Amino acid sequence: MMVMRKKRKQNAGLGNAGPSIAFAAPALLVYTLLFVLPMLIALLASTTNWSGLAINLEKLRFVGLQNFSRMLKDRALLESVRTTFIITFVVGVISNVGGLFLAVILTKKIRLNNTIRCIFFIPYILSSVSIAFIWMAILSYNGLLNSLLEILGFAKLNIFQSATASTVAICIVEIWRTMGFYMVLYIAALQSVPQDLSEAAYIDGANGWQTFRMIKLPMIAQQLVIGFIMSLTTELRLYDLVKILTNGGPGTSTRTIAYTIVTQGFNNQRMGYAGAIAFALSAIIILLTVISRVIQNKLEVKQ
Amino acid sequence: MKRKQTLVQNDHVSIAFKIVLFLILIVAVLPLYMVIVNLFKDSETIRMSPFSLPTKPVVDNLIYVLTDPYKNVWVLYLNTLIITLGGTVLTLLISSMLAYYVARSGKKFANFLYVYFLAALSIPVLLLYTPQAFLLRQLGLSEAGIPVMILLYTCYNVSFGMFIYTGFLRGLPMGIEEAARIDGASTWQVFFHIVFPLLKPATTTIAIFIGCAMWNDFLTPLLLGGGLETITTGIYSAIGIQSTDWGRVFAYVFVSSLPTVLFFLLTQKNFISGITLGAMKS
Repeated sequence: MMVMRKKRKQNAGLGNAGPSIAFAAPALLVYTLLFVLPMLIALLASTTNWSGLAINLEKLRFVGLQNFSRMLKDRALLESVRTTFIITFVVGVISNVGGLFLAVILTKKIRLNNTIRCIFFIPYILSSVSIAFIWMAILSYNGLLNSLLEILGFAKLNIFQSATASTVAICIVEIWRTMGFYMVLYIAALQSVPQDLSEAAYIDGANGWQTFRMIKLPMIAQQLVIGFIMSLTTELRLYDLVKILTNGGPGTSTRTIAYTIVTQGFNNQRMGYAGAIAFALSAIIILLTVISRVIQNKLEVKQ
Repeated sequence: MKRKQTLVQNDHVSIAFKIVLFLILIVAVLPLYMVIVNLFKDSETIRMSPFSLPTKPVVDNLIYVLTDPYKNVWVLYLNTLIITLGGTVLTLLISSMLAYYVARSGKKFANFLYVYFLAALSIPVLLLYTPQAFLLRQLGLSEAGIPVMILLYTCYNVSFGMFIYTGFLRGLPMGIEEAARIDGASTWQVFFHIVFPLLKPATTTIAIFIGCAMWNDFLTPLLLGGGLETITTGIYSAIGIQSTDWGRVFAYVFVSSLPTVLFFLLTQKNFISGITLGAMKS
């Protein structure tokens, strides 16, 4: 009852003394014309065989759901789905666990705490292009890592000739890039845990690990869910890094879903098909977001 | 009740954890260290001692990058700056106005708008590039450069801005606004003179979050920028993917990343709280 009353009060607004629709007009205009309209076009196009260039009314055919059924049989696409899922899951888990670990340590008394936090966070604000080139310089056959190996007398590594090594490299780079972000997220979460609880536990004789598991972990559970789902939705869209670092290679082994979408759309001129794939990807992302909300709500009720 | 921090909390970290932290730190810092250290070396030195500090620092790489007649980084900076500032300011402006309508008008349509704009947050922008490219071509705007980029970035970010601003506004009591209206102020005056200044924390959060994203964005200028190059696409085409002159590559990376890193270091607190808040809300 209380919640309903609050809601009504919030929605009452200023009524006639409030802002007119003119306030919303500019945003509405820009958004509808440049976002919603293209989105509808893409949706419509995903049911056709549009090439993406001009609208050639002779060639344009409505293919209905054929694009979507083709997706299920497309070997290349399925391979990229597998690759993307692997990267997404590996990066998601390690970034979040690592970020949590760092957050726990860095909310305690450590010298140069703030400097260390900055160092971990900086990769997150670099552009994808910068990051790709940095790691290309390190991991390439003629790169810095191999120079070092040569000096030490070891054989050089040809990372980008191996599908597995390339995938691992991509994972490492993404983990390097994002761990600092999740660390910051979890630091904020840990700092919002009321101290009394953990102090009481300490007095009662609980050690660090027990305090963490019983008290802190449940209280930051919501943020953990947010963080994990966020890493999933971020990595599912991975494109820039793959394009520059491995270009989907060797061969097509490190192509991600987003890479396939861009290739099909812009290179193979199958915009209709690419649109269908993109919508399928969006559906997955939306699904994950919804799951995230549901879990969050369940956790809130528990608290 | 103030308690002394040292009193009870298990704040001390065992040596084991400190060692692990140190190791992870080394791995995290290494790439950054390599960039700084190696951009002051020539190719030969890099090959022979990739990890050492430069004994005779060489600024050729930096000079090349900063004065290359074929790839003027200063123009790239300027382009990116104008686009980022323009996009950010425009987004802040129209999304705050939109949020004001959504949070304060009390009309049912406002609730519809909220959901309407929120839909954008779950959609990967990738989806839109081709239809947008198509539309721009039809309108003859593919070469229009900066204004087009600004509008595009605005449309991508307006939903996020609205989301943060609306959340913030709903927590703001309406008393002052009502009083001002009764005193005869127009809604526009109320908004710009009273409400907007109060929105400053939300404004900072949004500005940092989207500003950074715009500066670092690669795909949008690549696919929709026409002849215009930003700091990301410019560097991409300057280096290409065949380059092995790592000193020069690092110089480019350094030059393109310095502004954001400096900005971060100068505004740390705001930056981090902004990104955290933005992330948690979305």
